[in-house]
Amino acid sequence: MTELLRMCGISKSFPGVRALSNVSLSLNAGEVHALCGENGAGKSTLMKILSGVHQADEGDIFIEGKKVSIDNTKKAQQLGISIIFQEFNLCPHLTVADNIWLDRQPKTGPFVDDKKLIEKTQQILDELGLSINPKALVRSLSVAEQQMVEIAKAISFNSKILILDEPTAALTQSEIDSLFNIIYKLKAKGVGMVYISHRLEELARIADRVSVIRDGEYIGTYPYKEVTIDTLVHLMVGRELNNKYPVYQRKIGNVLFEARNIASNKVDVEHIQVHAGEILGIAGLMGAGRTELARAIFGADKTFHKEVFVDGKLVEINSITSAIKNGIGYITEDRKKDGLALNMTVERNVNMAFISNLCKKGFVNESAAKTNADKYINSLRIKTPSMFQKTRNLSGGNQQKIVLAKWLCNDIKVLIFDEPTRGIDVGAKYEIYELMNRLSDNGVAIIMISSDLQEILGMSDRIAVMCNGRISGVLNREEATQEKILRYATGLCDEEGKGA
Amino acid sequence: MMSSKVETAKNGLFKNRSEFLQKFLAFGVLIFLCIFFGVLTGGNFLQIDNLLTIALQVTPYAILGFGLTFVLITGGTDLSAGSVLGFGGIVCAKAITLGFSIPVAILIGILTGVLAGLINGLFITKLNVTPFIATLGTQYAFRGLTQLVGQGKPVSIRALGDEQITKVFQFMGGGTVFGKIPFPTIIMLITATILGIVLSKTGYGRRLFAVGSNEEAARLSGINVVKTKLTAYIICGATSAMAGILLAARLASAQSNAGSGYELEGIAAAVIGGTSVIGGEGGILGTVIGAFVMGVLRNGLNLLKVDAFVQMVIIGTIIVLGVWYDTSRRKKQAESIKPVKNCESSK
Repeated sequence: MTELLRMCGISKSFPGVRALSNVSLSLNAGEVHALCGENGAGKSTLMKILSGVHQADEGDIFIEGKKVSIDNTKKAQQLGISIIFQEFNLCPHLTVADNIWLDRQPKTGPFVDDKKLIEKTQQILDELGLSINPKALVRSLSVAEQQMVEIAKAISFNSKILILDEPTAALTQSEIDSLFNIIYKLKAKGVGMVYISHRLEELARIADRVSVIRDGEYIGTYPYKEVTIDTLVHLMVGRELNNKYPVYQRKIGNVLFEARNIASNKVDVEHIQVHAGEILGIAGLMGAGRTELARAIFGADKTFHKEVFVDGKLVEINSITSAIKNGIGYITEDRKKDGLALNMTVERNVNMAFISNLCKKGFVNESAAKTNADKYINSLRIKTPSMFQKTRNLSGGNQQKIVLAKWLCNDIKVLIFDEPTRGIDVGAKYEIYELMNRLSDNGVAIIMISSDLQEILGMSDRIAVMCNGRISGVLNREEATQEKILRYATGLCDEEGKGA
Repeated sequence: MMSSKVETAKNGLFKNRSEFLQKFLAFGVLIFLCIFFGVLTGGNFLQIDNLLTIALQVTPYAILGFGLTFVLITGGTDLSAGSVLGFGGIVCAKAITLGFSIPVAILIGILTGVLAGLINGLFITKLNVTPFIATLGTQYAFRGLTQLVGQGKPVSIRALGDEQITKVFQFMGGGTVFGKIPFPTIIMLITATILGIVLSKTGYGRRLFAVGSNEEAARLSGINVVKTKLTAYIICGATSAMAGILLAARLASAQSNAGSGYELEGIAAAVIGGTSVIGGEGGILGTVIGAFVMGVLRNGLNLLKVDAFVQMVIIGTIIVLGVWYDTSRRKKQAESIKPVKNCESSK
């Protein structure tokens, strides 16, 4: 068996984060090498280094025994490396043939030789056994077909190394079968594939070896036949919980928030309830529908059906305004994208959801606005030179506190945190956790969505795990383990109909 | 134009240093141009009469620019503003010829603008048509309606034969008060003060900036984005019509092609004055200064007998330079940002 690729001792840091440290990976011809790890473990970063999107700080890459440097994506392409991202890079308004041969169309003189273009496309499609019309517009194809076109494009570059990043995330069972048939064909042709997936059960059908990365560190490589799913899950999460979370005894009161039969395009949740002073953690993999559930509860997205009870009373939440009026707040996942107005001052952001309360006859009471901003800058210890500083210039932790302040101004009963500590440093994280505890002390019901399993285990009183838009399991603080959560999250076990 | 500086001090409309710098720069450019033309024309440019003429000339552009400033702050644009100017003017004149009293006719004219703005706003917020396309379309439609009202001809107040009405109407458009100050310029300054206060002191102003700065964040904070944007387009329609009425009054006759291309002048005035074309930043005072920069340029070049076509080249270049400066400043600002270090992380 010839070795196509070897990555040795790869390290990569981003400002403030060590994404990869001393990671190794090898790939043989005709092999499917699975790459496993939790969200944020560093799988994608490693693949971005291989495909020339990022450059490694340390480490060497060998292709067929020769040391190479991959400075950009073009170089990766020339070396026969193709990556198929979760998000496709196709031009939807062009035909299949044009997409595959983009900027490389066969030409006679200055003109594109259409006949030859179609011929060459058909050849590749036949080779892969695909029944896609080369003249079809890409936007008219299904997601699965578009993925096939991406693979065909990779083949057209004579790629020897193919990276598939969560290729089955958006596919149906029969589409997965046909994808696997193509993977078998590529294996027979000697193409080596790195296959990233959270769906451990399907790996058994195609993977030859599996490598595990955890927190940017290389754990090991194993022949797939020799590992069970249980050991794999343990390898992926197996670390000790260190003392990153404030020790706290919560006082849990009556049911403060309850929702039944939430149904939208992306979620189908029968029952969820949170008590006063309780933190309900919501775990799940990317795309499991956690954010969608939050947005549905908050009235930000349309739902087909939903019944929400706050303090035991049925309330109608059909808009964000009505959610706020009923004491529900939502701290978004991406504070830069939809949490803050970065060009505006701290004061304006803190008061953003509170303006109407600061107005008399339409005019803003500026001194009240300043007093209010001052109050939260002090009580949340927001580090800013002044309340007139633009929020853009603050650190992630302080930005997150501003988003929090925005909701605390309002008389909030239920607060949804979506990835509350993503991209903020350890010290600031601890402060956010303390603030959450203070809120729970005041009887606020907290729903905390997080991809960080330690955070979920460290902070939650109960944990609801989501998978495919539904709650697949609910665990108490005492019984919850990372392994159990991951089992529910990957759909390995599913207690259907169970509510949170 | 000096009056705009007095206004600065009174209203304190500057919100932060970069805004101050931008306005200071625009204001500096204005002073520079005045001195420049003053010297080159041997003082003729700086004659009070000439300066008052400029003030009268920039009035419609400035008023148009105020509404556009609101729209630009939302991150949108209104290409139909010039057509709405013509439409509002001609409807008002038509109403007078039909026997309505002047105040009622003005009200009808402004309501026409409000309605036009409402239509623009509904296309943009409810039907999700991009502002550029929606208002490009309505630019044609409102111009067509203007032509229909006038049946292709100007609507003349003088033709009514009522001396009194003609005199009152013309005073509105070109009369002077306190000696030599043009009445429309007074109206413009009052409008600027009111709209400046709306932008900087009211809840609506805060919502407008929030929507323009980050629409999704504003929406998730419970701000009614549709209502906020709709109001901006309505204000733009109203100020456009107001400018049209003043223009028609000056001539005692509403031209059916009045205001053609004025929207670009208004946008230029706003942008030179520091309003961002991508939304979230801007102010009325800047637009006043921007309008004067344009007016001074045009007047000065005229006095220097620069060829009209060359003038167009110069003014066009200045607009591009203004936008270029604006975007490069913003980019530099975004790049130079170093997060304030988290002090608590050390503990």
